[in-house]
Amino acid sequence: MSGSDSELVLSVVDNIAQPVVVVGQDDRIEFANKAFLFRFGVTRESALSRSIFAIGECDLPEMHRLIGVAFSEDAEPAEGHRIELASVGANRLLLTVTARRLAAGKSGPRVLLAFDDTNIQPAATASPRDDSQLILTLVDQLRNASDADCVMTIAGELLGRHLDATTVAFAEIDDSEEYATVVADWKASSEDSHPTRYRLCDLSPSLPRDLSEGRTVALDNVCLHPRMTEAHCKEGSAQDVGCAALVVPVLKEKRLVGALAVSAAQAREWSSAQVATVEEFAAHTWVFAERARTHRALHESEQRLRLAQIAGGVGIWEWRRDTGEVYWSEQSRLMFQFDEDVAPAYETWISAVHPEDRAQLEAGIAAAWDHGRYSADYRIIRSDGATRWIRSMGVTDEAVSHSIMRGIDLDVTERKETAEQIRRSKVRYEKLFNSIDEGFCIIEMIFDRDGRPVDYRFTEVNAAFERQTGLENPVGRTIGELVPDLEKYWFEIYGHIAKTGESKRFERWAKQLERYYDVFAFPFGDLDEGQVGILFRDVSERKKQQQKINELFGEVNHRTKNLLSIVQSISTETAREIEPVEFSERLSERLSGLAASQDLIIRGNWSAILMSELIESQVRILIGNRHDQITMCGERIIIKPAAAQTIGMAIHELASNASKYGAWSTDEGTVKIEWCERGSRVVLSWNEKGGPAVYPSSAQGFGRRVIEDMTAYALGADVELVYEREGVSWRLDAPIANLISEEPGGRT
Amino acid sequence: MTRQTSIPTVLIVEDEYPIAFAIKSILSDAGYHIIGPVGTVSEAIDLIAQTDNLDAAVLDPNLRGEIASKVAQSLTDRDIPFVLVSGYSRHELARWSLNAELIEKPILDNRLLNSLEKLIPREQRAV
Repeated sequence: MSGSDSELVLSVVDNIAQPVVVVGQDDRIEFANKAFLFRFGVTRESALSRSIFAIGECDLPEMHRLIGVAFSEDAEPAEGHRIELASVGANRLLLTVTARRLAAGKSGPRVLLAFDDTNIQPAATASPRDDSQLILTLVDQLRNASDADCVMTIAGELLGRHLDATTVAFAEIDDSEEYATVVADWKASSEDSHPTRYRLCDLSPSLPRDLSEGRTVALDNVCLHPRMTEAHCKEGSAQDVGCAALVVPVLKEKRLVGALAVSAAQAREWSSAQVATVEEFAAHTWVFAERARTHRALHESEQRLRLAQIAGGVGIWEWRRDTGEVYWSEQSRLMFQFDEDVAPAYETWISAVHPEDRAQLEAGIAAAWDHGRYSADYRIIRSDGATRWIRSMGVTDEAVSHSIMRGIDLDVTERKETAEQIRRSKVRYEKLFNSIDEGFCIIEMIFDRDGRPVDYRFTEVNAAFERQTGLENPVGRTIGELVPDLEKYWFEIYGHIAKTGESKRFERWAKQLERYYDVFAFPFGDLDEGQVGILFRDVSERKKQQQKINELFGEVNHRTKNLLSIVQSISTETAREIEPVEFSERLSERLSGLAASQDLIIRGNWSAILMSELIESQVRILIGNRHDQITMCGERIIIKPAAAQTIGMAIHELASNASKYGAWSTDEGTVKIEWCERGSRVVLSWNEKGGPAVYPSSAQGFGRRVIEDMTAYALGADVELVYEREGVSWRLDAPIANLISEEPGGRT
Repeated sequence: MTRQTSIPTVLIVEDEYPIAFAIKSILSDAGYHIIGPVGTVSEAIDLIAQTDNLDAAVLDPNLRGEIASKVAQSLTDRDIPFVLVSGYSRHELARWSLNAELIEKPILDNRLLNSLEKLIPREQRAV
């Protein structure tokens, strides 16, 4: 039985009107319902674990025997033992108790004691009397009385009128058995007003003793009226008020607990029949008053249970397998919206169930009769057309061979809908969570004793997490396990977020992961949970590019300044050797040559310049329209920027000289430029033919230094410059390493 | 260290020939005795070792892509003061632990001459 099922059964048993108690093998009370507690006047706390024989009137030889028999294996249910509950005058009030063995519990077998209604056993020596009609009338009237006050008032009036009395009072006697307090009374005259508290010995010195020994006492000349003082009584001046009284004691466990007093205006002799009538009246009144009190207590408790049912939306039902009888509570009826006049029946219920759920439900119930337990969630279609989700749970009653199933109904529609909404939003969330490129995770911070963040544990990660970090199966593990030497600032940042609830965006290195991250971290859930959500992206590539750009800017700056320095020295040297008239033109030419090389260097991304393109770019500036006076031939050689600048300048000076004094100063001269790799060296040659005769003095100053000294200086080359009759011959022979870029792809 | 001559001797280490040549012209015209120019680390170190009466040096810290830290160390070891000529900024040179006065390219004649004057004590100079 699930917790809520057993709670339900307990509360039902607890609220029935019949007193019930469960006794373990050591006679200790394991369970007692409210009716039992009320009937025997004990609290639940004091009853539980106490011996049954320590309760009220239970310590009787018959009870010992009854329980002993019930515990023995093959005993038939023992019934009908009666125990005395109280005595009213000469009447004894008896309870009938039934004992039945229950299935063994955790601590062995148990016995259930059920107490039937109280019976009145009249005194054996009752005098013949003729009041049976009166007693029937009393019982008839008391049956409809709803509370104890009402019971006593009805009984008081009936008795008072029958005996022609002035007053009938019901009193409780206090623990000292000294004082009586009137709790209900009837008076012949409404003008009369009586005190509510009497000292018993004031009424008659022997009264306390007689009453406590269970004897009904007739008093003559008793003063019950407040207007009468003791003096008045003695003087015998109170005849008109109430002089004769009959007091019937009520004893419980041999203690005087209550009394019924009837007083009459004149002194009278009470006949034994009258005494018997009053005693029986008192006994019935006592029984009905007790019953009314019990019912009131149970009713209140039932109202509370009912309220709880309504508040909790719990319906109760019961189904008898043998007769097919079905009971459902008001709450169940409302849940299904059955009309009030619809008789509870299985067919009615099953036809309200959604057709798609019906077969499965019926199979479940069939199985439940065998298993003793039933639980199902199913849809119903109510009479208003609404579809609702119902959860029913039931258990069969082992006490009646599992022929009755009882259970509860709950309307769980809202719960189902909420669960469905949560499921849907979770699916959406997970889809989003796993489809984004950014890594996402939820972590739980771990702090040391001093509250310093020292580690964190992954509680959830998305699909991109591994791609972004390279960490496999992180959930449930800490970052300390996965990346032992992670920078402290990661803990500090996340710890701060977990403590303060402030979110933060930042970029940081995770050196161990060799990655640079752009991170947005924010508090997740309640602050005291110490959870942080982290949305992050590996931006190492972007960061590297940024660094490269920064470096490149530095390099550009440096190279620009270098270039300006070269321009500066070219200008200075040009100014030194050229006449001012030609200066501007000559400088422009040289700067054009420098610019042409620079173009190629930048186009080659500062790493690779094609030899053929370099030479052509220099020649183009100075050759004019003598394209047929040049031959260029060489293999594909890619050279580095510094070498390209030097070679570019050298070719420029050679071409400049050729156009001024050499091969290109006539229409016949030709220039042949050749280059090739020879082992670990590169050879580049310039040979002029067919031009005017040249002399060493033709090429001079800065130009010559560039052609010879600069190339040798900058390229570590062997340079040969010969002024032959046919023309200038220049040959550069340099180590390949000084020309060709070492970077991969430099020679492709 | 005894001085053979009252004319200060200056080593030029610069891989760009036109610049090296320009520095040489400036310093020659100002009356300095010039060693070099040379454009590689190894040549520079050899010359420092071979020359007894070196008074100062002009050093380009980047020689064909190689950082001239070794040259600077070699000069420092022999207590030879030097100036740096470069297109790099002071910040970048600090990254390579090169601590000397920087003359940024393009070079102004007077700027270079003033710096050298400060490096070489007056009594060693010709009047």
